Amino acid sequence: MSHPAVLFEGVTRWFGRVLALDRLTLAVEAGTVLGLVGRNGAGKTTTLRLAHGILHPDAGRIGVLGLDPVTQGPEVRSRVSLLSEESSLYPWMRVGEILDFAGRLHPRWDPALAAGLQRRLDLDPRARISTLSRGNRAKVALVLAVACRPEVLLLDDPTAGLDPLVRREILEAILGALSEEGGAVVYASHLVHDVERVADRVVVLDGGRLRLEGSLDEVKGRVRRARAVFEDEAPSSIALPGCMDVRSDGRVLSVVAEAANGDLEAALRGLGARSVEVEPLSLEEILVALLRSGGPAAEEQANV
Amino acid sequence: MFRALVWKEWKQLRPLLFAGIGLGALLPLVLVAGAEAGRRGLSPLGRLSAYSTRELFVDLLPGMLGLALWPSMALLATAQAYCGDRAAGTEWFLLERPVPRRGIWTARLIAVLSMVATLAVGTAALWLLTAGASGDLDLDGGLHGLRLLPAGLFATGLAVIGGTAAASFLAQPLAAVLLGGIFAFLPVALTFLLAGSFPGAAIGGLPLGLVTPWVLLPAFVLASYLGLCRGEPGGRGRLKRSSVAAAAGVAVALVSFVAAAPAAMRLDATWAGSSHPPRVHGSPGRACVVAGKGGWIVDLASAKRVRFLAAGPWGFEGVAWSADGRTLAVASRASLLGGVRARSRLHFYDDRGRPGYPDMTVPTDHYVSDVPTWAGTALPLELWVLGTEESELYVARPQTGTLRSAGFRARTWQWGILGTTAGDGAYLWKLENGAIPKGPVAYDLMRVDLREERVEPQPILRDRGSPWFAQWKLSPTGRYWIRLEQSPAGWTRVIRELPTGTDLPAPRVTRTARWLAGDRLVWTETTRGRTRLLTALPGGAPRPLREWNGADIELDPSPDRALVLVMARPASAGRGRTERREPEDAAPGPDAWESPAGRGVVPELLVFEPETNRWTRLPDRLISGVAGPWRTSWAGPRTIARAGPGVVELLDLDRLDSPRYVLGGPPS
Repeated sequence: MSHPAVLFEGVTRWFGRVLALDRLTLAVEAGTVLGLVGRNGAGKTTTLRLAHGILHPDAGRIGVLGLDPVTQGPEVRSRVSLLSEESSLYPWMRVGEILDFAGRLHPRWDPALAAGLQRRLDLDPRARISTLSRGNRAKVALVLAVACRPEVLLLDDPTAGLDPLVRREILEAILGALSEEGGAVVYASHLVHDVERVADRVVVLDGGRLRLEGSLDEVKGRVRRARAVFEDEAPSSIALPGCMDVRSDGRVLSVVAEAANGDLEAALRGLGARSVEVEPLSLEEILVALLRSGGPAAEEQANV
Repeated sequence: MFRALVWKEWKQLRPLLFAGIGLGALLPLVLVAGAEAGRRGLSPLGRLSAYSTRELFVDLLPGMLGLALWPSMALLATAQAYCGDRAAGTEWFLLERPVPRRGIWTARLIAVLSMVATLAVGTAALWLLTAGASGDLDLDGGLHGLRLLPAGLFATGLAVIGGTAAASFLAQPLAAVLLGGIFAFLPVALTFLLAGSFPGAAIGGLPLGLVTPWVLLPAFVLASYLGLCRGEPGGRGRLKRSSVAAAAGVAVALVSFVAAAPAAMRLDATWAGSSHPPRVHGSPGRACVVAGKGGWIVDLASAKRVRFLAAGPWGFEGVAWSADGRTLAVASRASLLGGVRARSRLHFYDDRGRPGYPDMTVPTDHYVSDVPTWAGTALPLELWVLGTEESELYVARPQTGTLRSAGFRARTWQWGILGTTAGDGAYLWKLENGAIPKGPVAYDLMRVDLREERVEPQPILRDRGSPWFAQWKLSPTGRYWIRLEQSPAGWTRVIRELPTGTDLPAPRVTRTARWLAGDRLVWTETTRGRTRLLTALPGGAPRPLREWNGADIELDPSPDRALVLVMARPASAGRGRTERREPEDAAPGPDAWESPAGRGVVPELLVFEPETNRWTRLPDRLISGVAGPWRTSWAGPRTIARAGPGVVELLDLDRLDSPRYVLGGPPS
């Protein structure tokens, strides 16, 4: 019986009185990259830590590679790596020491892979962690996360705050490792362009709730922006199903909506538009429009 | 994996180890410099100058290492090991690895213990080197300071456990050090508190309060383990789990003390009875068996202990049955759970062991001086007055709950209550002058009117002898008194009828005389190694009962004075202080010897019943002092108690072959 690499079923998690995740349900299949996007506090990090077994859910069920992270934490963590933005590395250790230390803690550690990555990322094994730049620390964290050959890689904004060159380097290393392993990746990031580059599917979280989920092509194909020109003043508001964002500027009305091409154009022409142009959006534009709209959650309406 | 974890923790603790060894190396220099500066009037540690270099090195330094440096470094190391990663934000490194948290916890503990052990060995070696190099390490002179080292190791262990527990509550090492210090001190403080407040809750001299607080140590370890190894790795619920475990430890320590204290007091009394024969206070109804710091009211028929009475750490101040055996008065300072009251208290129990009357507390600054004496329903009491050398006569009336002064006060040990009259009265004795001379002394017999709660000012009799034994001279009805009179032949004892003040012509008794019911007298006379037991009513002719050769006879009336226990032991064995302190009797003439009664063998134990003139011979094994430290006495009107180490046995005169056991059991 094959399990999804990561499965959340109605998972809820509170931090005191703050609801961090609200009945989240999602599945990540093996061999896919799931992009997890959302604003700060949307629940991305919480989702990853729950999957890693570091946090426990208040309600719902989590399965990772068929294991329960709550009761089988160490087993899960031996097959799943978490690479986070602020990787906690011991500042007094040298690069070689920390890799060796991590290797002795991990049953699936691949020293050859670690050495290869270390060389490829140009890390000096004698350098102390405390003397490394932020980028090099991120590289060390990447080696630590990848050299244990995880079946699931959880990435929590690992390239945030890094310069484009290092970001590219790290992303390439991740993609390289993935192509070899064929594991599942959950990639949570604010950097939507990076997510767009690597993700097969995308999930948008907002306020701990799932707002949008689907493959990247599906999401992009479903959400469109239409520019409609009216004879007179464009209406300031319109009632369209799946409408996420409406902006009016004189005779021009710009609408972002989740609808088929023909439906959106027909709806705008029905409002009296003289001309309608429909264009595709980038993931970032879709995300911004979705988060601005504050519309209903994905389970209720936006499931693509 | 585990070795890697220990390696990492050890590396993180190394700076502390070096700092500790550095401090250990500096301490001798600081002490010597401080002492030298003190001699020059410069040192802020001025008292150091009072110590010689040898004292500093050999006596002071080991204590400072063991009781200050090691525990404080252990506390720092524990806090650093368990909180350091959390404070530095590196805790997630291990949490994100496939490492069981109990492995991390154990590795930290091993690293801390290794660090502390290395520190102890290192600083001890430095101390030996320093003291040896200075020439002050004189093994022959005794290394007194070394005696502090085990205490130091103990304090270090406490610090490790306290620090471990504190680290599960706090993430900052410095705060954990402070809290850990509190946790480490808590069992010690609780020990002092419980042992000091409840000294009576003890077993074999070991206060229970010294034992139960140490439950906190495993509780603290558990609190740390539950906080750091169980639940969510992210830390949610850690504080709750640790708090519950620590609070449960405190609760268990206190509850186990509360639950165990009554049992401990009972056990202690039982054990005390194993080493020293318990004392049996008989009465017509029940008996009270006193052993160590406790006692029991015992049902004579079944030998069941119907109630335990705690005596407090200093034992009972007095135990007295009422004449009818229905009320037991006990004076003690015992409080709940082995605690001690500031003032003595009188407790009254009925024959079922239930509180008979409300307790009475003696007035402030007064203490019960002597065994209370029942006089009908009243209880005259001699109470010491704190801060003086005097004691005062009080009268307690349990039925009305009053305890009032009778207005009589004199120097302690120079007066005492000696007995009661048939009416609502009592007698006390009082020395004529302040001093207590050796040998026979003159004293006054004074009547106490208990109804009026006052002492009649005029003495009714002036007598000589030992007033301590005056209670044996007053007849049960209070009508007759055995007066001591000096004659050319020696001391003779004359019966005086107190209401009329007249001396009766007969009988002349001896110092062994005891009163029985109906104001009957029994006594012994000894001439040329032959001892004869006699009985008579006041004014009547003596009737010989029995005689022995080479015997010491001890007479013990039963609680209702209907019977007398006659114990005949070899003359060399049984002479007690009583006989020695009372003046010798004038020897009766040879013509006084007529022996119509049977000849006795020595040793033998008999019960004589004057009403029926019946003798009952008891088994020889019951003779006090014959077979080990056993004591035979009355437990009830027809019940004998045999008390020995760990055993109190009751025997009915009518069923001597069916002993019942209050403590212990039949010999195996």
